[in-house]
Amino acid sequence: MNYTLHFGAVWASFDQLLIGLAIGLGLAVAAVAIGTLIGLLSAFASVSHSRILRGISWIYVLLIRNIPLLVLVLLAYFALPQVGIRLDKYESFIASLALYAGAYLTEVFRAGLLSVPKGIVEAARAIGLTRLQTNLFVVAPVMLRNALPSLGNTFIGMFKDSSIAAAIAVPELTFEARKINVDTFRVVETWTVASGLYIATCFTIAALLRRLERRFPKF
Amino acid sequence: MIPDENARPLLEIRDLRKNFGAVEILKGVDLSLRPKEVVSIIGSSGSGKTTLLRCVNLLEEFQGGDIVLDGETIGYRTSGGKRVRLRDAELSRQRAMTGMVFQSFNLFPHLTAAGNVMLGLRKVKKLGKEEAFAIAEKWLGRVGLGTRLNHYPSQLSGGQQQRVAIARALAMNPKLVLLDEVTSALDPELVQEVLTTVKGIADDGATLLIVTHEMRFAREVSDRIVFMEQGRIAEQGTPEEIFGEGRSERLNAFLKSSRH
Repeated sequence: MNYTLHFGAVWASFDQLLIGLAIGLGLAVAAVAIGTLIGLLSAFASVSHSRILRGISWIYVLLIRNIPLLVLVLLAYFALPQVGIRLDKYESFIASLALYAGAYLTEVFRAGLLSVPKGIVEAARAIGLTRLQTNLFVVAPVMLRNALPSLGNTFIGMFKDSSIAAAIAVPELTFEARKINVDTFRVVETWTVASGLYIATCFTIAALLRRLERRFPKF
Repeated sequence: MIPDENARPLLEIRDLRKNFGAVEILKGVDLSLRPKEVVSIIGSSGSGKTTLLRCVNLLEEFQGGDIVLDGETIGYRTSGGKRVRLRDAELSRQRAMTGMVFQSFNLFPHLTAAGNVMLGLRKVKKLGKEEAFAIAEKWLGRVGLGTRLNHYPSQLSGGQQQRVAIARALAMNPKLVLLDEVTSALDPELVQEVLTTVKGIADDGATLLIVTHEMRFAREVSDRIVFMEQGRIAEQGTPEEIFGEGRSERLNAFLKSSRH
């Protein structure tokens, strides 16, 4: 052990790491937002009366969950242009992560939907709400509240997975850390600081989510 | 309120048949209600009382017979000699004509008492927020919950929740209100407040079809009692005829067994 710690070189580029962190958060927010929409549609499809809709949801989850995210990202960024779909690195990463999040959230929301008491659905129908109105104004809000803890965990997971964007040169935290590492050779310092930033951010998100959960008490 | 003997029936059920798979639940039920009439259905569990109510509110499909509400045949239409279930939008419109109060309250847990009452007014009747709130306030006041407008269901007792459910049903101004064992899930000390509320709306002239195990209440509130047995109406009559002397052997047996 003759490695002496020199954090100075890392601190000098700390702002780059912070910008990278912000980009990673942005990617996760965009992907989870789109993924939530996909997950909601897919979850409702998975419990619908239509065999076709159930089938589509099932195949989607099956495919996406069995492809590693990294492969999905490479597929979107390098393979799609070959068939004429050209996405820049941000778009292709957000699309990949959104599809990925959507598949996980399908399961989360599906469990949430099954936990919505049948009685309140009937009560909504009894006062004359249509099926769509019942889903929008009764089922979805109750389900989302019940799914909030899992939704939060998924968000934290997706934020960490944003590091995979480094593979296609998206300048997020991991990519920036690798750059600093290459420039300064401060291996231990760089990756320790990067890890610390990940931990601090995830911890903060978790704390914010707990506050949100307390604001909206469980039914 | 004394129901008008000569009025056209508000609800007319003809030869209603319902089965779950091979099990026949309703084996041809005929029943009609005049406007402002209060009818209670009694009978042992499994006799089809609740299923009958749920058919009237179109929560259940039924395989035979007709239900006519205020002159309109509900739930199905005939097309080329075949019965066809109506589309969702039509079913929803027809459901809004009847109110239903459930055994287990079924309040929307994410909405306040006022929000529960307002949802149907806003989304089905398309009323503005203020108008809907005014109606909610009026009905929650009417059931004795004027000071609980902003309470969530989880902050209310069972009896209070059921009274919110009654306000939610009545605020929609339905032609007919269906009450499905509305006190069965309540602690004994909370039963009376709900029964008093129901008595109040009956006295105000609502048309009620009630499924109940509370014999004393049925006797007190009803114009007519219907006794169901194994998917059929076995007997019906005024409370005096049903509960008085000279009732039939099987009714006697049921009333004896239902006494707690």
